[in-house]
Amino acid sequence: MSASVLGFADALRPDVVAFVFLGVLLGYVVGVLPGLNRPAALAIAVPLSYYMSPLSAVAFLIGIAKASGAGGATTAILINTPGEPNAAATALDGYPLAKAGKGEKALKVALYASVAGDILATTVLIVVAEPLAKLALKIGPVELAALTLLALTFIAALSGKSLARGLVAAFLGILFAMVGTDAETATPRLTFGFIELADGVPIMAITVGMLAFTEMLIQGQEHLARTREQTDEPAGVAPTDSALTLAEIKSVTPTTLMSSAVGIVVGIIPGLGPTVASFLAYALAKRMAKPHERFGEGELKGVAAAETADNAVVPASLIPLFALGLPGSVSAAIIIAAFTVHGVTPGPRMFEEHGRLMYGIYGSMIVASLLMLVVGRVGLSLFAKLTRVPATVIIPTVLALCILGAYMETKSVFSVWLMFGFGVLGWVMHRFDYSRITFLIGFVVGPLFELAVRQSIIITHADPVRMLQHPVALALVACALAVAMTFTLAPRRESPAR
Amino acid sequence: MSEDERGAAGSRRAALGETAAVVAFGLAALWIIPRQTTSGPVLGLRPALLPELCALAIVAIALIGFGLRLWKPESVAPERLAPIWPAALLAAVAAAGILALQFAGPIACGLLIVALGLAVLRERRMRIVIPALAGTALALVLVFQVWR
Repeated sequence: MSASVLGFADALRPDVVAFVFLGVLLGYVVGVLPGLNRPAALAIAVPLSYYMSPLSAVAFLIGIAKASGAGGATTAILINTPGEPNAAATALDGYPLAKAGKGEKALKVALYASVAGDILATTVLIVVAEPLAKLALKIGPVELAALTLLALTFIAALSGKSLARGLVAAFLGILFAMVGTDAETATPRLTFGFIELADGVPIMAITVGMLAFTEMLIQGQEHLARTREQTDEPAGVAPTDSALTLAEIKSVTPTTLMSSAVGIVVGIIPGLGPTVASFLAYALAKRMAKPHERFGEGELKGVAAAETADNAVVPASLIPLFALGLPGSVSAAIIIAAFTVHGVTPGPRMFEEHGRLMYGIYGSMIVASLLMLVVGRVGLSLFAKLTRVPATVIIPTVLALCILGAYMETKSVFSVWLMFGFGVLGWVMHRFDYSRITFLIGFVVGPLFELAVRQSIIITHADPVRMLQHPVALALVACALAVAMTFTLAPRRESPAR
Repeated sequence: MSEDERGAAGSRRAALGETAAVVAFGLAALWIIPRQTTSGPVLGLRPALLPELCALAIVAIALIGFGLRLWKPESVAPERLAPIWPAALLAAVAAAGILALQFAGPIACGLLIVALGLAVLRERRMRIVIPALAGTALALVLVFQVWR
């Protein structure tokens, strides 16, 4: 039987479906709980997935990544508090709708739009990733090294206010990836005599530390700095006007399709992420609005546009990961951690070496989309109640989860202190606007980059003139320089992309 | 001195301090890397080369960034002005939890972090404190005693 049939059959195994369900449920809860976001939830969940089969683990994480986006709409609509920046665009029309007694209707539109965007992007991923991976196998190491540089420059430019700080973060990430045993000489490098570092800095220590732990320090800092709760009055889901009519569904359908396309394109480009997608789709929908449509005052199309694009980004950002091994987003970088933990090296060879697993992941993604619809619809009112869980309970609980999660992976306190150290480093980076996302992606692509550079030096005999035999690589380096120049000379942005 | 001039001077001072710290880190890395890397016969890349290039890139980019900020001063981000003590307090709670993990095990660690965390975050409502502690205790006992 072919790998595709076996893979899709694996996705329907009861244990895999159960883990996808668990992931979707957890994702919704995380999305709804104030203060928790998608990367933090994924980082905490990776140690939990350690005991699962590779397919269950990745399916579980994908379930969380998909559903947390959809769940984030609940707080944005009901209490005007987007848990993540990408849900901010949803609040623009969602909260006015809720105040007008149409909260349940807005939540339904957000759910259906999320699922539609997610399914369309998953379909594109399934169709595009494998042919792209086959093409990527023809890319030589010189071109791959240049492509990694271009991707890192893009991510550095887009993930913070300053390109220079973004690049410093990226190189710092690569530097930390160099810790461990050198692949060519098998000698220790930057291990400081710690045997625990012989295999490199554990990726779990970095993801849990810099995403979840740091986030809790930031949330705690903000909580203590506030003198009183500054959230808006909960609008509730009072069913004054909760039913979604056929005319309303018809009117939001073109917006949903257009926003899916926006989300997919933005998702494929490394570094842009869901915030850019949701605001771009919202702006596009607003620009194309009919005269009677009042965007910003409670327009269903506004909710649909933001949610569709937000949720289309997650599957689309897996395209560069599956095709090239380059994570385009922080969620993709964390999924790399899960692959690594289970002995799978992400990249174009995954389709050749782990074809059945890849199709299993595709199948699980479709199952996750359908479960999102069911869980979201059934738990609509229940999730709304979760918005009341106070941050004072969430922050210490997540701190404990970070420490115990880091401990459970290796049963060693060393990795817990390492996680703590990276958590503090993440907080310092946040304070000085050095992107933790760029650092993490630099860390993840570091070994791949080193291998490509090593092979490039062998191929070119370390002679720069021989680079002229690689015009594609030269063009990619030129593109990276052009991106760097453009973002350096452009007027400074006031808010980060993510 | 006008408000704008004071702002620009503050921005320059902040940029200088930040650049000095990053450059010092990069130079320290350049000093440490060869001492912490064993060399051997290589075909492609000697083990210390890429880490050294990364450290050099960090120093160079930090200096270029400093030059750009002198040319185009930027406003100091609000995150930089926020007080440090709340985060330090939470980090201390976590450090205490790790010590508890080391000497008393995971259940004590989890309970200590949640209890201290609730106290540090000034949660005084018993209807929240008691269920939070009871729920944590139950979850920890289930994970580390019953299901382990």
